[in-house]
Amino acid sequence: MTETRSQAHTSPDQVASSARDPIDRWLDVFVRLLRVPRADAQRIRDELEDHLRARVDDLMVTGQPEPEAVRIAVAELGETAELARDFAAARTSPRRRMLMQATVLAATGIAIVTGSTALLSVSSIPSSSQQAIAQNDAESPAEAPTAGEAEPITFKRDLVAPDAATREVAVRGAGRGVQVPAMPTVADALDLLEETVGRRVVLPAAGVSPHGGPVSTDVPIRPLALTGLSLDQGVRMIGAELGGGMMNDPFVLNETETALELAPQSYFDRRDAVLIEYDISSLLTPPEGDTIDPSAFAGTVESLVEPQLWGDTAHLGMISTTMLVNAHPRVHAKIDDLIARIQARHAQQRETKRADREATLTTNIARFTREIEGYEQTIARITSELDEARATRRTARELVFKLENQMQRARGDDQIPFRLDHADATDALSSANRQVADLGNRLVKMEQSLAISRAQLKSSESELSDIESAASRRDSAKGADTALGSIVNGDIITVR
Amino acid sequence: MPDPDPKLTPQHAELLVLSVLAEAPSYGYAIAKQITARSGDAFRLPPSQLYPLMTRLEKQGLVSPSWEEVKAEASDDDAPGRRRKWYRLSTKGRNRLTQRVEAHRRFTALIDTFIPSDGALGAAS
Repeated sequence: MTETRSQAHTSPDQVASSARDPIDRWLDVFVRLLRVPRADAQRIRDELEDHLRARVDDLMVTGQPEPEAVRIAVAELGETAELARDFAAARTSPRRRMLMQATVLAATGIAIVTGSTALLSVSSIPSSSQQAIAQNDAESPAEAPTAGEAEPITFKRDLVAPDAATREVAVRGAGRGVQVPAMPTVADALDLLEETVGRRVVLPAAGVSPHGGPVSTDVPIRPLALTGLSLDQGVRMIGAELGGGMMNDPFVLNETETALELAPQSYFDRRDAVLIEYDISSLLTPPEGDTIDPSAFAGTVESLVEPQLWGDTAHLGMISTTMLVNAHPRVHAKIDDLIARIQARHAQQRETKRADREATLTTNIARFTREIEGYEQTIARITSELDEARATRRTARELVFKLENQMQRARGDDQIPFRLDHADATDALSSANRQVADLGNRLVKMEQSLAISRAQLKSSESELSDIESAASRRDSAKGADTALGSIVNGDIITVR
Repeated sequence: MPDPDPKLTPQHAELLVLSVLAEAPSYGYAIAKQITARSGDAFRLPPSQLYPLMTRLEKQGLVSPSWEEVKAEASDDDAPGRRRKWYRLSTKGRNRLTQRVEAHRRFTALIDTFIPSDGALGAAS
């Protein structure tokens, strides 16, 4: 704590943001993913900025260059979207989280793989965090076992008009109407929901009714037998009475800081859509198979991730190898998951290829080593034979010279024996010459083969060494690299 | 070297944070550093665990926040600094800490009753 405490209790708006640097840009993205009121988001941003800059300072003191220090500090924060979700979850009571889980999961009917939105906060927060929340709120002793599953929320009564009110219904032919039980209103439905979940339930200001406008709370709706039904079933039935709630777009409850909002899923999908830029260049060139066309990749995303939304409440566009998606954070979480799966598959393919190549290289190295030994032995033998052949040639040559001298000195018939011997010696010399030449040629060929095998050995060893050190670098960098998935280079998020 | 990275349970994390704050007010990064340093690098409270925890503690009224402006050493005097959030243990937080400490002691005492003495351990091995 070396800094001076100069201005305690400063208002969040009093301090201007500093120059735009990587930390600022990361914080911009982080805040965009936070589903909390603006003032709270600013305070969370300030606290994380202080953390990041203090950490960067510490890392730089230990000798890290600033860019590396920033990279490490941001990586230590973990996955951006997950952190934003944890912050949102920490601000929410367990009952509220359970409520949202019960309603939204059932209403959407979607198997959540790694959900990461405010709507799906319970399903997506790490189990350890859920445990923390349950235990903290239960005021349990430090070492008590984890709290069990919470009871599902059910309706304790039907939706009816309050106080058994009646209304008059005109009957044809009768002079006056008959009294029948009064219809409940939208306000009664909201009251029942509030009573059931223990929180304020509101209709968003606009866009909820089938006509896109607000729903009036005094509109009568049919009574509903809800007693004993689960919250999500009741929310759907009430939603159907409000004029929506089609099977593919049921009503859900969306949590805000002050209340629960009741509206069709599509309403929240439109209202809370976020534009995110995905750099998919590395996904288009798998280690095995053909290069993938960007539009084919986009088609895969649209067909695998909530296919019914695209072109309606979610939009996708491609610019070269950048995929721009404007959609609800829930959809982004699923795209993230899909990308992570593709990356995992690519990594597996790369690993298989690497292992195969490593095995081939190891086999080759053994073969080249054996070949080299064989060539070296052959060369030694040929060299020895060549030495002998050269000695034989020398002897033959000397004999030829000697006989030629003797022939020159002899006269007449005396030359005859020397001529015969000279002819034999010349034949022997020619034979020795041929042998020397033959062995010389073989030696050159062997030396060429030896050089080739040595070069192949060196190349295989070097490639194997590269593969091994690359694998080692990947292993050591794995933690930081995966955590850096969402570091931002531009104004909007670049995922991997 | 201590055991490699023993995991802090949420209850232990809360106990450690409240204990650190019982000594003096502090801020997020300093709390995490202190926990790492005092445990000889055995415990690490990553930001993803620390800050949501601080948010919960604040929401439950166990800690009281305040803000100060911090300037980097090299910065211009007129330039705005960054904002630092300090946490102070509230009375409710102090009570919670007492409960946590008592529960922890009861728990470890109970565990201790099962652990054989050194002599018995030697005989077993």
